[in-house]
Amino acid sequence: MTKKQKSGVGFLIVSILVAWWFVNNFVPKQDATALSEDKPSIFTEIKQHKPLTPIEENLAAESISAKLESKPEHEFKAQLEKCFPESDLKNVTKENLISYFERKANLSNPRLELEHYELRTKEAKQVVVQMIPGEEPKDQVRVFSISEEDGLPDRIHEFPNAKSEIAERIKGALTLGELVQKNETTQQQGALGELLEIEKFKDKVLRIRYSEPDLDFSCDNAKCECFKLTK
Amino acid sequence: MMKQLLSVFVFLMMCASAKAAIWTEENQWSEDYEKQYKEWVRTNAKVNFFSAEKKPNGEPNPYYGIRVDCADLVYSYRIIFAYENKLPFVIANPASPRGPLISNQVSRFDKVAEGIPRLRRFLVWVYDIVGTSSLNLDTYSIPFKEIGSGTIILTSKKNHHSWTIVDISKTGNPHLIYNSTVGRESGFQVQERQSWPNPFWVFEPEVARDDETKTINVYKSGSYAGFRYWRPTEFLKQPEISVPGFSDEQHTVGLGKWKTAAQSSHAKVKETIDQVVMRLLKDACADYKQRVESVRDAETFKSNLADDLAAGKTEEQSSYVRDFMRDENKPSDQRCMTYGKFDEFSTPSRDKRFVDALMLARTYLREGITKYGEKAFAAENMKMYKTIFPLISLSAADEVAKDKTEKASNLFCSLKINDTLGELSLPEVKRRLFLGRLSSNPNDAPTRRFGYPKTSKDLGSSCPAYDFQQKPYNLQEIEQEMLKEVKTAL
Repeated sequence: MTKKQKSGVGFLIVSILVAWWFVNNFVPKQDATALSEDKPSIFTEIKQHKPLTPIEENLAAESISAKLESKPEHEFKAQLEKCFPESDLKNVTKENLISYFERKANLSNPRLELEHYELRTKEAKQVVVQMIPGEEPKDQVRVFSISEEDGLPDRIHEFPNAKSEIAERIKGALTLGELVQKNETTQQQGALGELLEIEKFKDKVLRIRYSEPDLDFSCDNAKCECFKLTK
Repeated sequence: MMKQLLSVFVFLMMCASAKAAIWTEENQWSEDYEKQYKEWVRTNAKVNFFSAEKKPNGEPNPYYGIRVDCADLVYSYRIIFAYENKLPFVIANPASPRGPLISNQVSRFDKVAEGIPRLRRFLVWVYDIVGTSSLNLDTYSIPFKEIGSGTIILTSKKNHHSWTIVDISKTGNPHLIYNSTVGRESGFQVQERQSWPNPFWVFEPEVARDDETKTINVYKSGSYAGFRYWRPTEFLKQPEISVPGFSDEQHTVGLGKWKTAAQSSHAKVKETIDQVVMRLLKDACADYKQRVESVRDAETFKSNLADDLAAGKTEEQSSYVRDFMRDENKPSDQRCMTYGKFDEFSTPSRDKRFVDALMLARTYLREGITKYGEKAFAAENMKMYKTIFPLISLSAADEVAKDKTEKASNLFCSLKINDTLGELSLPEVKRRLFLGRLSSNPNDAPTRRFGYPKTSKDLGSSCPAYDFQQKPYNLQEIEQEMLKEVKTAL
């Protein structure tokens, strides 16, 4: 073997090692052959939680910081007028929008529709816990880990108190990580098919959706929109 | 030499970093593909879709052995058709409404062999994420005239169930295909029925979380329950009313007319009253058959758990023991079901549906006789109907009070309960069911579950029952509810 060939072989070995290292560190691990229905579980990984750093706290706050107040007034009013052309809207503002809808459809007693918790584990992985009050018992508390790779969920079936009753199940699920954010979605239902759905983080409104049988008005982080059913 | 080595290196790096979809899209959904999808459901959605080891042409069934519950089955058809036709499959992300959509483009199963193995992994992953609560995000309400093969029927959250319409008969009745949680555990075969579901069950009000005495109306404009079809991808995050073809018609006709409106929109020939009663009794028979299987599944579970506990198996050796020991609220008496298993195997909702099915058949028969006379029924059929409803001129409650005779086991729809109890006919099960003698509690033995006298093996009253209470059926109220529907139809 010439010196040149020797260095070539050495280069090949190094290349294979680099490729092996790359595969093991950057490509998500999956069993290449099994078709088993293994469920991901982070139950055993989470014993202690790494506290959130101030930067992470800011990031968390930023992720829900999009508020209705930041939307241009003209866009909001234009969409509102599109949905309710007959109404007197001059005193309706983003701040009193909810009470405007409540008065308009005589709505009261918001009913909890969804509790959505975002947690961060000590390994800085994201976990979502959802409590859906109307769902069947086995699905009222749903827990997901969110993949860092693609942002998509994996259901976690095994978590503390996973087989207990609802309140205990929620408590158990919330021990999986540090609470970063809790959003609550409520609904109010009117007599003529009106529906007001509000998603909140603490006292901040993240999303409003008001609908009647032939219209749908919504405002969220991105924009306010009015859809009217054309017959 | 160096060139070749470099090629090998580049190849290795490409293999390591390549991201592949579950399948590659070559086509896009169009009106024509939607038509093809509906036709595919009509011809392919059979009860043995996942249970037949071979396809009709003798080739191995690539989907054999996949376990599904009701929502999984609905999603399966759409995913498999998209896969077979190289179409995109995209749905909402129920875990993160603001996060990425779920689609066939996910690359997380890159290392699973391409084709069917990768598809199967994708299906299992999707099943874990979706449910009846996410179906409304992926579908929209359609008008009666659009109902047909591939249409989904979704119930209120109270009953969390869904069906897919395989076809609609000339008389305007559907062939529905579905599965249940218990069905998922017991085997790969799914279930079917030939009648529209009870609208009072489809739209049964939700129970208010803060006050269980209050209910939330679900039959209203904009309801998520009822007839639905798949949303185009671009409308997944949009309001439902913006989807082309959206219609709220089904939520405005009135609950009593919902079923007849669906049927009359598609009926080409009128169903005779005799055919109606016979069809409804066949459905009741299917409900009975599923109940027998459900009780059998509960018994198999109890027996396996008891055997493994008695044999001293560890959590590592037995999934039954593992499941039991990990339950925070496991009953101290190891013969009782845990909360999760009690919820899975108790049958109050199924039993109420069974009562409804029989009551509907009875109401049609009674009103049919009143309106058309007994001559409207074939003599042989009428004889059979009267074995089930012997005092048809009376109300259901009065019939139950006066009908003391135990019915023979060789009558219509006789099913084997188990080796010890032998067969039980539908007429006798109906008598016991209406008397409130059938137990929905899975801690009771099969004897009590099918209305035989109580024995020491019935643990229903001594085991924890969680929120469950066995209540007698209000036959008068149920009959009045059915009467409204029947009077509208006749």
